[in-house]
Amino acid sequence: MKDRVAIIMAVILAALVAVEWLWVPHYAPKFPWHHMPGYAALIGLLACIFVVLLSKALGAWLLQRPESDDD
Amino acid sequence: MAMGGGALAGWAVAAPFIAALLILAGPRRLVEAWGYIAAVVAVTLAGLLLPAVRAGQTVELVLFQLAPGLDLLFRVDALGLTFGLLASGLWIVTGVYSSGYVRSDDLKNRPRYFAAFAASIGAAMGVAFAGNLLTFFLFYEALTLATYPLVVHKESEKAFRAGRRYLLFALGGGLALLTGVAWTWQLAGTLDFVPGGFLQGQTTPTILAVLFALFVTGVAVKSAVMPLHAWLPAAMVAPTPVSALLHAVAVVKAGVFGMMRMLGFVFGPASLAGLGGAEVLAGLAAATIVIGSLIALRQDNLKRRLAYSTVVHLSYIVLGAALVVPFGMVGSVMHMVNHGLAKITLFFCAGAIYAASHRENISEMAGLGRVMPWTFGAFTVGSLALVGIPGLSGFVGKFFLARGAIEAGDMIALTIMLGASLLTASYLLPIVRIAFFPGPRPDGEPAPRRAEAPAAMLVPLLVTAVLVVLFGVVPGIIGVQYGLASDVAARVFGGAP
Amino acid sequence: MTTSLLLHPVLPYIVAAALAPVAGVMGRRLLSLAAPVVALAFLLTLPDATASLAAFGHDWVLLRTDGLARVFALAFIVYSFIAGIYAWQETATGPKVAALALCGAGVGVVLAGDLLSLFFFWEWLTVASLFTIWFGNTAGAWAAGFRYLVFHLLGATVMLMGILLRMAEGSTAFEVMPATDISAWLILIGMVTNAAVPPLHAWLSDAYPRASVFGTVFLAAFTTKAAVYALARAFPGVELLVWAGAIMALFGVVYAVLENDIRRLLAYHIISQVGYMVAGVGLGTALALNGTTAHAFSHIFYKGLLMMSAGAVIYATGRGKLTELGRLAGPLRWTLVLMMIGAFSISGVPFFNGFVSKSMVVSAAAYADRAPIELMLLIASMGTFLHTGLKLPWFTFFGTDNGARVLRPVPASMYVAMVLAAIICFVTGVIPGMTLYALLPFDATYDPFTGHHFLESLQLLLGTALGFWILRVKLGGEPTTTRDIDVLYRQPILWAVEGAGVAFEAFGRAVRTTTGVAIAGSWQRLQAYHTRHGTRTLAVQSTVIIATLAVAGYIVLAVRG
Repeated sequence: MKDRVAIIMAVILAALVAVEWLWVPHYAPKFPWHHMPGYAALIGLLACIFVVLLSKALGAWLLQRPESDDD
Repeated sequence: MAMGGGALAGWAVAAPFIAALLILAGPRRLVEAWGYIAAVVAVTLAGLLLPAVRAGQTVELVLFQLAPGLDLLFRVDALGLTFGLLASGLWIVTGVYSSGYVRSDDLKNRPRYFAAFAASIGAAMGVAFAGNLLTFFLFYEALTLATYPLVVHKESEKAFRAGRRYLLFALGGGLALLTGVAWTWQLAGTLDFVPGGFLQGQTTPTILAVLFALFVTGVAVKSAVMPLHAWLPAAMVAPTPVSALLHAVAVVKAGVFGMMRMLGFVFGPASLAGLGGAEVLAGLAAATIVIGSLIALRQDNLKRRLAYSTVVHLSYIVLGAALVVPFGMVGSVMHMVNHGLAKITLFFCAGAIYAASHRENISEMAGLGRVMPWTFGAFTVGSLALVGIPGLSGFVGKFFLARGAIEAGDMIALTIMLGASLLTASYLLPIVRIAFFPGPRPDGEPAPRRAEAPAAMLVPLLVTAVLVVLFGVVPGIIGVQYGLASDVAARVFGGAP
Repeated sequence: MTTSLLLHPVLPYIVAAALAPVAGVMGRRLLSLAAPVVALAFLLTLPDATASLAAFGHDWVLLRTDGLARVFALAFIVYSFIAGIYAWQETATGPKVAALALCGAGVGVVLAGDLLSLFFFWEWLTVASLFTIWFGNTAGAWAAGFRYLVFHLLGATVMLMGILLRMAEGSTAFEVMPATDISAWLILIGMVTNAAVPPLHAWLSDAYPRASVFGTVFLAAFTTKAAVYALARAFPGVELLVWAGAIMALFGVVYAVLENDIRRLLAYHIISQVGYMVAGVGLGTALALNGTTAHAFSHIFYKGLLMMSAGAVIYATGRGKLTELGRLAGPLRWTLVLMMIGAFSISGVPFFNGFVSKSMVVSAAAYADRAPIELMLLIASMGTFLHTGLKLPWFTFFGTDNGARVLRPVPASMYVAMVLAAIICFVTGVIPGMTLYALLPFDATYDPFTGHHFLESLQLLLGTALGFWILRVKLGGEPTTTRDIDVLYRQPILWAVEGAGVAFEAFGRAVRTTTGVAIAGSWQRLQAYHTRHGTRTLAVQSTVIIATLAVAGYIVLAVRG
């Protein structure tokens, strides 16, 4: 089954990136990624996946313990 | 003024002793009244001395001459007046509190109790106004003997054991003091207290060091500096008003007061420089602050925990004096009073809790704050003051003591003084927590009914709690208490801090 | 210019707190609303001025009103009014007094004009917070409250040490101080403790979620933001803070992934958001400091709104764990709407206040050529939206039905408070130039409404949403709690203190026993004697001994004389 929500989001995201690329470049580019259209979308998506996986790994390895009465 | 200053001082000391005699000799129904009258007289007379002392006039009374140059002598200065006002002023509230306490605890032998109490205050006033070492010594010993019947008042085996320990420590210290006094007379030919000391250049450093050890041992007992503190927690077997006024204020403050007299008016900065004694004393006091706090944390009996807290805070005062710098002295004088106010509040609360609920152990006090909200409100104020929350009395002393540590360049003392606040919070505030926050009430259980101690006990503890708040702010503005404290430092160190 | 202390905006709070115990339930409610109103009137009346009180040989500058102080004081006062409405249902005396004290102390901190006055209010902020936590009245709240107390007293002690050292050097001015000497560093450590900069942060996520739903709403606003104010006042441009802030912003994000308790999730995001402010202080440029100030202002209201809506969910259902919530969008639809306004604000959705304030700090990092900082703050923005904007509402209001039901309706007072906060979040987000930006004290202009800023934000948010959607199965709460840095010291400190106490007690007993044995001969004979002859003879004999010694001493003295 196709995930319709994901597809709609991806399409809108692509449209936003296109708008940035074609008409609205960074107003004061300073760092390499400022020149790259869609850097924010990429940060959003990749960092999200990375942070979630990292945190879950850290949690399983070190940080999580069962809830106790104390809490 | 009809009476001279010296006569005022003499009567201020005499009034409690006269009351003691009248209590023993007079009619039974006036037993408590004599105490009230004497307390008001003593504090009024002491208060009348305030302008003269602040103006720097000499207020002196020679009782009689023992030997040429050796008198029994009262001489009131800023330090003595501070202590005298503290002891006599708090006697008034303690008197009211005692009246409530003896009824609720059904105390026996009331004339002996009230007479010994009055005599103890008289002795404390004598200590405060003593103008030389000999007079100081006599009243200091009288204080020990007058408080003994109070410690053993319950006449239980435990009480007698505590009493024996008290006498062993206090009289042992007294012997050291007496030896020091006699030796000093031999060496210096005078015993009169002099701001800045009178021993410099009188003898060799070795003898000076021995003398220092003798004097400090003598007063360190009542100041409960470790390892000479063990009598104080044991003495908590006494009725609570005794613990409150004597073992939190008058007796122990006679110890730290004596410490300031010895350091500032017998030895002085000049002869302490390079001696090493003050440094050893400071080390002992600093150790007492830490160790006493750690032990206090482990006491479940409320009065014992408060007793160790007293041990700790007395050592703050000793440490301040032992730094031998102006701000340290100011801090010690301020904390002598301000700790007294906070600690008497806490002891009054402990007594009120016992009277109303017959509970002595902290672990049994869960939820008691709902039953006795005013008492535990006062307890909270007193606790926060001792932690050193600004705006309450305890902060003022801590503030100046810490500045003294900086003035002396002693970062260890600074760290201990400020850091021990955490320990104070750790052993006092959990009591507040247990009392007020016992956990949610089970469904259907009605709210507990209020049951405070009798008004005669409740009102004094509320009065002292209010004083704790006032002394955190007001003395700084109107300058009386702070003025006296800076006078002491200015005279000892020859210049305002 | 000096002014009268009688117009000090803290006074209404003190008066209200003092009157509250003797007022009735309705009286207390009105007092907690009247105090902010009067305080606001005072604040608006006051010119830019100082007022001081001479006591204990020191000039306590208890009041200083200038641009920076005004913004924070305004936010605190307005927020205390809103929180007062939210806590309308709180009928007990104690929590009301503690809340008034907390608000008053917070306002006091930002109006304090010298370091000792700062310390004064700083300590009362701790005390008021302690009691607010304790009013949670569970075993968890007791312990967390105590840990909170010890931690903050420690921070305050370090700070006081620094203040006194500075005082000895001759100045207690609460102004920019170069972080070069030891006293300044001590003060800095004290301040970052209250700002919850890792590794000094654990008290926050530990304690805030354990207060009552009303208590948390008060706690969330004051302590960290007051500390941000203090840092902005005293330590702008300290390099360490740039990195501390950026790490802080990311730190909370990692923990929020694992968090199941909805208020603790929000608490970790306080740490994250305060990270932006701390980084802004560290950057120290006019734009960065304006950003810090603006973001603190925004944060007070959107975080308040989020805590209020989380509190409303807990109030209504009696549950606060994501694994126990879900499918509440129907019965609690208005709470959902209001929570989403808070979530959009914190995430920087255009036309909400986070969009206009957070971006100032991020832009300031770019203008200062701090590439890694900008990147870290952008990633943190992603995390903010991921948790507060998606995870929290999704698993609370949508997701699976875990049996949560509305047991009692959310009272109107809570809705009123949340709507007020939501209005502030929205209005300052739409017309920042006429509202928030007009208050900012530093000389820097900023226009958030550029085409690229819109696109950047929307891309970031949508990218995050896509990631969330793909990973949503992994993101549900787990019935676990998360170990924080405090596991390293909680137990060891208790053991150390306990162990030392035991050791010293044992030592004392040993000494007493040994001493007893050493003097056993004479002393026990004496005791035996007294047992035979009655104990009171000891006093008499002692008196005789002393008297004899005294006479002997007198003879010696007389001979010499």
